[in-house]
Amino acid sequence: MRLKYFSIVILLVLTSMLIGGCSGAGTIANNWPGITVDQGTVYVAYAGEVMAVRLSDGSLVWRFPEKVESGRTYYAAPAVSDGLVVVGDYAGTLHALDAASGVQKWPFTPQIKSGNPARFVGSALIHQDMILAPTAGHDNLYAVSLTGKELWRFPTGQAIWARPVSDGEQVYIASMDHYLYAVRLSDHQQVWKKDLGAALVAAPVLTDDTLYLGTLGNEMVAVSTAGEILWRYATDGSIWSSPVLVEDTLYFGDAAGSIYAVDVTNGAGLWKIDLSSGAITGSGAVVGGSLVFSSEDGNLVAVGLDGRRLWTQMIQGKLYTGPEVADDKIIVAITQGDQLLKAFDSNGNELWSFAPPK
Amino acid sequence: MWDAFIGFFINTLLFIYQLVGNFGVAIILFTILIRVVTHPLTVQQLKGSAAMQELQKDKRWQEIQTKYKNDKEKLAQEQMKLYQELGINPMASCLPTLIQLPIIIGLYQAVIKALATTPLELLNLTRHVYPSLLNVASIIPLDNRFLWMDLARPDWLRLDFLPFGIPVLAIVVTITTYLQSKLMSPPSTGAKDQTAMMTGMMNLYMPFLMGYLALTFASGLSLYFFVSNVIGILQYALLGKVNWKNLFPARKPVSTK
Repeated sequence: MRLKYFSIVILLVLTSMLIGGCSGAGTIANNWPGITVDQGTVYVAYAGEVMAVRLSDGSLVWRFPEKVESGRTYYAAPAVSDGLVVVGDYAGTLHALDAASGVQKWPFTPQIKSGNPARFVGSALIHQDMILAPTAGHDNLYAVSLTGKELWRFPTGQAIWARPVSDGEQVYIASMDHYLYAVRLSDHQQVWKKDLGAALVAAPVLTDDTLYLGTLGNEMVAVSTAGEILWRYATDGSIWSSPVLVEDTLYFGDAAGSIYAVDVTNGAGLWKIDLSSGAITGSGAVVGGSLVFSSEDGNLVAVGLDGRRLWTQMIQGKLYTGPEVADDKIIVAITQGDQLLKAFDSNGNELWSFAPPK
Repeated sequence: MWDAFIGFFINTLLFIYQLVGNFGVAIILFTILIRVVTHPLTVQQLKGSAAMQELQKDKRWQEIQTKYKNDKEKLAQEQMKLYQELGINPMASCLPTLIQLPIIIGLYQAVIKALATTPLELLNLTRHVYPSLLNVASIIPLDNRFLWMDLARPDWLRLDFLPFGIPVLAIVVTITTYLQSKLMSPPSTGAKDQTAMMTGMMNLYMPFLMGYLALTFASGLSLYFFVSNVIGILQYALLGKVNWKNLFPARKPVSTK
């Protein structure tokens, strides 16, 4: 009979494993890494850790936290300025770290009256003397002092995954609620909001008087800083990342796997190439007069500004995060690969790779 | 194949969401729909269970259990003979359950995939959506809020006057699982009825297991557990198979000897 009881317990444990395993229903978030390069260091946030890696040789400088906490995951690209690294986690805390040592200076956890904590999905913007951090769950943009105190918060109707941008007077927030918001920094009042017809998940690119941003409704849109839509450009797939602006041309990829070049003056398409290599969810980067894009199937592709394909480097793993370029090195963050980071020169030759030490 | 199966579930769920505009209500309606569609399987399962129950009361069955209790092979042969003689299919009660299993797992996955909370999860969700059926731009992101809950996260009701949260859904899932298992257990056929013993163990552990899952999983899934339990009880009640005596057992007469 004992054997029978034991069998029942085993059956129940297996059932729970089956349900849990099949559903992935736990609270651990699943996403791609976020990377930022600053002053010769690559900062990467992935799963339970934030790490600093030397740009020169790919060696580890520091990792945070000392001990990985279950359920606390980091995926937003860290914001770096004046020796401060700011990165939020999915459990609802924004961390300020010393850029040189990785030691925590302060944590900021938004005070929520009821319900679940806010989640930091998008990257923060360090602007002058404040940090502007978007959240999901409670859908606020938090303005936090450089010492970790909340200054104000601005609510939107849905999660904010996109890093905000600012021209010094206003901050522009692209929200999942389909609206682009302009908020005055001096009194944190809304100046205008514009419905762009679909969820906005990527940060806009801001010029003197125009914002360019993609939507999940398969469009690249130009909006004036006064809130008027200047033009719309239709794409085959949804747009998950910011465009790259080079002179008067925007370059960006979409989830259908194409790269586009669009004239910013009138929204006319200049060229389009289909990489046939899975979704392009990260921004492109400019290196040595050409552009590099990464695609889901693991291809790092260089194209000329005229749309010519220059070289392709195949990487083991998936590339959802866009490449970063610094000191003529191309850094890619890899999802589901043997390595977390790889560095290439401008011709696509591998320089180093990095996997977090066990 | 499995992806297409999950895709069908996700699109059905999102189609309901597109109609009602509330994800909590969509999960409830979706659960009802699934229970209605799988109702014939439930009826078949009940019939199979009833036949097996009757069989255990049969004298011939009890005789062979005693006679061949030390010869498992012979016992199996004799049982099979009896099944054939009485026209009982021993798989009739468990086959419908096995068929329902992928449906239940598919439903779990559909709910969880629809509750995407990160860019990668949302990207994967958009790939399952049929553009001819659903307007992706208008329905994404889904509004995960239902009553006090964020359906993508475990449920902890926080009240101003309490310093701690209350896992409301985990509690109601535990209670309804217990009620369901108690009400649906067939009456015991005897003191040495091993099936009843097994059922008793399941009745004891299952509510806690489900409660634990509801405590740790996204509340959208816990909502499904709760609604599914309630509908299950109603379904059995409509079929006249609810055993209220299990819930309120009559007191044993006190011996006066």
